Formats: sequence, structure tokens, C-alpha cells
Amino acid sequence: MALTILVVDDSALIVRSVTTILELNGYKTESADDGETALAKLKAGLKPNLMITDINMPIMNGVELIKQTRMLPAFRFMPILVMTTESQQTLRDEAKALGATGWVVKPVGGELLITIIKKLLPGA
Amino acid sequence: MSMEINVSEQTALLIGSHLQIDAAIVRQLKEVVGNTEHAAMQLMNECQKLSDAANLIEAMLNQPESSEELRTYHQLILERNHHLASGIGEIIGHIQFQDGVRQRIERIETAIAKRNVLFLVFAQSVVDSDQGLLELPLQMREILDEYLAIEQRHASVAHDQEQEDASMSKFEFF
Repeated sequence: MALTILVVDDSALIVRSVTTILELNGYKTESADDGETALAKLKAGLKPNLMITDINMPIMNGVELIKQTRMLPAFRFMPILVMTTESQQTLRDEAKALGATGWVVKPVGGELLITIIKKLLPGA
Repeated sequence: MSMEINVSEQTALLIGSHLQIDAAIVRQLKEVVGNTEHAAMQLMNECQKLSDAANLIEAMLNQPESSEELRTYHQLILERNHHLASGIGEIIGHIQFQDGVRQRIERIETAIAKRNVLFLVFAQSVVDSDQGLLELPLQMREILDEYLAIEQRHASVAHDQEQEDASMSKFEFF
């Protein structure tokens, strides 16, 4: 059974490119273009095995999304990968403190992304 | 007096034409990036069709009446698809670079818009012989500092071999 990955980014190009890489490698994907939409999907019953999120997004940013997601008991241990162009150490520290599992700087090639996902989802 | 007004008007006209040139350059840059993004989306749509076709073949093969030759053929396609997927994945990674460029253009555009407002105030101050002109260099400095601070927070969008080689350093596992 294919694992599901939720991709959250306000750039349609990034969402499309990441989901294409994932689907070509056998993963199922879901997407949202801001934190609020992603959170609504999780609350509505979506159960992804991993969430990949940007930081700078309208309505609800990635940091707030991580915080809100970790408050939902069902997602306390779901790996969350931050994928962003941000390089500010304070933001990294904040994301880490709130429960992010890893941080990767865009752009990310297919091989690197799959390598990272396999680290986050052992056995996938 | 009439000469002073003439110089002021000339200054205002000069600033106006300068702003128009900047706006035209940003517009053209955005157009180039927009076209590339459109091409990237088309490429990914084609990838999706290929992936759908592969899934369809797989579903057919799961039928009990599938022949052994068909299964062997399917295995061959799977191996080639895997190789193709790896190549396409790298191309798509390069496409993401365009998004970084788009974001940088937007940041530059914001800074230019703020500077343009300041220039227009400057032009008006020249015409009105306003004493508040002395504060303008400081305000200009603030706009530049703000832009540089935002830019510094974002990773470089440089896309060269050296960066590719150091790719794993872009990842931090908490």
C-alpha cells in the first residue's frame, strides 16, 4: 500500500513539481496551498504518513501549521519536513522546538528528496 | 526663478523616465519566469499522463488471464520507467529554481515600488523647494537596508554544480 504525503506550499509550481517527483516514486500525494487548508484536511480525516511544508505562506504560515498540527493527538508523531528558501537560524530553531522533524532548503532535486523521505520514513 | 522651476521640472521628468525603465525591466523578467513556469507545468502534465498509463498497464496485468510474455514486457517497462523517473525528478528539481527566481523578483519589485514612492516625493519636494529633502537619503537607506535584510534571510538561488555536490548539506534532520 502506497504511503501518502501531504505537500503544503503556496506556489503551484512547487506543489506540482514535488507531487510529480513523489508520484513517480510510488507515493500517493495530497496538497494544500496554505496552512489553514492543510489543517482543515487533517481535521477532516486525511491521514498522511508525512507532511512537507513551506514556511512563508498566506493565511497560515508553516510555523503555525506545525504548532497546530502537533496539537492534534493523531499527528503528534507524524514526520514533518520543512522545505523552504528561508535560511534564518531562529526560524529553524522555532520549527524544531514546535515539532518539525527536518529542514531542507529549496530547490530540491528528485534524488535528494527521495533520499530524505526514506530517512524520515524508514522502510518506505 | 523661471530657470529654477525649469530645472525642477526637468529633474521630475528624469526621475519619471527612470522609474518607467525599471518597471519595464521587472515586467520583462517576470514574463520570462512566467513562460518558463508555464513550460514546466506542461512538462509535469505530460509526466502525469505517463504515470497514469503505467498504472493502467499494471492494472491490466493484474488480471488472471495476462500472459507470461506480457508480464516480462511489463517488467522491462517498469525498469525503464524507474530510470526515466529518476531523470525526470532531477529535471523537476531544476525547475524549482525558477520559483526561487520568481520570489526574488517579487522582493526586488517591492523594494523598487517603495523607492519609486520616495523618488516621487523627492521630485515633488524639488518642485516645491521643500526643506524636508534632507531626510530623503536616510529614508532611501532604510528601504535598501530592509530589502537586504529580507534577501539575506533567503537562501541563494544560485544553481551550479558546486551546490549540487553539496546537496545533502541543504538538509538538517532534527
